[in-house]
Amino acid sequence: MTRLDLSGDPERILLDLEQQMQHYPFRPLRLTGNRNRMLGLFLLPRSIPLAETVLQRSLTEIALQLEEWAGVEKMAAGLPHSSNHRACPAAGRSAGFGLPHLEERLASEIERVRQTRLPCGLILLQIGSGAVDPLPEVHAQLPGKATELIRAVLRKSDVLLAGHSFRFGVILPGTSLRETTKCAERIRKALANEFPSWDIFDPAAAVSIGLVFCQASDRESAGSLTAKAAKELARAVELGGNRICQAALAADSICQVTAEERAELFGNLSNRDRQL
Amino acid sequence: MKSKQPPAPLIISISSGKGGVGKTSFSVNFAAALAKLNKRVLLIDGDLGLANVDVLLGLNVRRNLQATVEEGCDPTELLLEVEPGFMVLPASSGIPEMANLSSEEQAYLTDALEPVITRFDLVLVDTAAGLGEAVLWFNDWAMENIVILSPDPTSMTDAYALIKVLHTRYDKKRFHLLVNSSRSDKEATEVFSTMRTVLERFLKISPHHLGVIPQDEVVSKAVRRQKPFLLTNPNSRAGKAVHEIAERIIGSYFSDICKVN
Repeated sequence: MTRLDLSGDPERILLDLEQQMQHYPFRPLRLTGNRNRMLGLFLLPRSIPLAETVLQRSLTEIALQLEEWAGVEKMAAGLPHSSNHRACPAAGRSAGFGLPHLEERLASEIERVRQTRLPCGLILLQIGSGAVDPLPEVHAQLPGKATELIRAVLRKSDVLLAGHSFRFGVILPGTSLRETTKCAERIRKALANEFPSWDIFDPAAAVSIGLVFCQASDRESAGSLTAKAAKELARAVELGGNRICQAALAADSICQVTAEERAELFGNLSNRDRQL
Repeated sequence: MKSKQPPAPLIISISSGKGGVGKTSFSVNFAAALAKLNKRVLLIDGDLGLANVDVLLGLNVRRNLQATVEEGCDPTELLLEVEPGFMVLPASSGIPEMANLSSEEQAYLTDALEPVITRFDLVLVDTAAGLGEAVLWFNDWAMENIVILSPDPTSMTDAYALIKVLHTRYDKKRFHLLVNSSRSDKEATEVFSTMRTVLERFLKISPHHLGVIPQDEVVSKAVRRQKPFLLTNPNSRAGKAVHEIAERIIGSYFSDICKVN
C-alpha cells in the first residue's frame, strides 16, 4: 500500500485513501458534511455476504443515526467503481445523471436540432436533497405519483425519464428557452404543492430543477449538456427552496455583435456622416 | 345576459439597449396619445430598480411594484391615474434587489399583473436599459416590441445587440424601430435603412419602421416640467409625431393585430 501523507489537509488525505481503496477489497463510502465537505470514509469489506438491497438499507440506517452528529448533512457514495456503484447507485450518476437512456435520447434530439434548426430544452429535477438513497419504504409509492404529476404538465412529444431517488429528466423537443423555463416552472409548481419537504436530511429542499437549452448553433454533446444541467441542479439543491437554476447559454457567444456586423453598421454610418 | 369576454390587451414593450435614448419620454407621451384616442392604457414602469416614469409625470408615489414582489400586494392597489384612460403602475428606484429579480420572482410578478392588465386596451412596458433578465423577460412577455434608437452609433449598436439577443434566445422576429432625436428625415431614413440592412443580412429579419421623432426642444422642456409634451405642446413636431405613431399602432392592431411588415 502506498504510504499516506498524514501531515496535509485532512480532506486530501481522505481522498488519497479513497483512491487507494480501488486496489483493495474495501468499498470506500464517503461521509460528507455541509457544502460537500468530506468528513470521513466508511471502508466496508467487499467480502461482507449481504445482498445489495440489505446493504443499501443498512447504509440508510447508518445515515439516519448520523443525523444526530453535528455537521453531518448527508452520506454519499465514494468512487464509482463497479462494486461501489451497485452498493450505492449515487456513485454511478455522473454518466447520464443515473437516468437510463438519457444521453442516447438527448443525442438523437441534438441531431434533430441540427437538422431542423428547432431548439430543444433539457430539464433535470430532483425532489428532496437526494440524500436518502434508497428511499425509505414509507415513500415507496411516491416516485410513481411524481411521474404522473410531471407527465400531466408535459406535451405528448416531450420525453420523460425517471431514475433513482426522485430524479427525473425531461427532454423538450422543438422548444424555445422561454418555453423550457415555463415548463420547468409548471413542473415546480405541480411537485412543490404535492411534495412538501419530507426529506429528513434537507428539509429546505423540496423540488430542485436545473435546465439547459440547446440550439442548432451549439456544438455541445449530449454528455456535456447533461453535465451542465446536472451542475445547475446541484446548484439548485444547494440553494434550496424550490429553485430553478439555468445554465448560462452556450449560445450566448453567438448573441455577441460580431466584428462583421459592426463593420456593416459603422460602414453605413460612415457613409451617412460623409453625406451629411 | 352573459357579458362578452373582453379581448386581451395588446402588450407592447419599449426598449432601446442603450440608456438615455428617450424610452421613458416616448413611453409617457405615447401612453398619453393613446389615451387621447380613447384607449384605456396602462403604462408599467419596467425599470424595476431605477424607475422614473413617475418622475417624468410628476407623480407622488407611495407604494410601487416592490410591494407586489415583497409583500404580495395586489397591483391594482398601486395604479395611479394620470389622465382619464391613462394609468401608471410605478416601480421602485434605488432598490438593487428589484433590478435583479430571480426568474421565480419575475414569473410571480407577471402572474400578478395578468388580472390587472385585462382592464386595459393597451399595456406599455417601459423597460430598463441594457440586457438584464428583466428587460428580456418583459420583451418576451410583450406581444409587440418597440426598439428605440437614435442616430448615435452606440445607440444603433446596442439596439442591434438587443434585437439579436431577443431573436436568438427568444425567437422574436417582429420589431418596430423608432428613430428618436433625428435631425432630419433624411438622417432618420438612413438610420432605419442601415439597421434594416444589417438585420436582414445577419438575422434574416425585416424590421417595421414605426416612425421618427424629430429633435425638438419641447421634449427636454417637458422632462424638466414633468409633464408629457403631448399634453402641453400637442402641436409641436414631436407631439405630432407621437400622435401619428399612436394612430398607426391603433389602426394596425385593431384592424389586423399582427399585420405589420
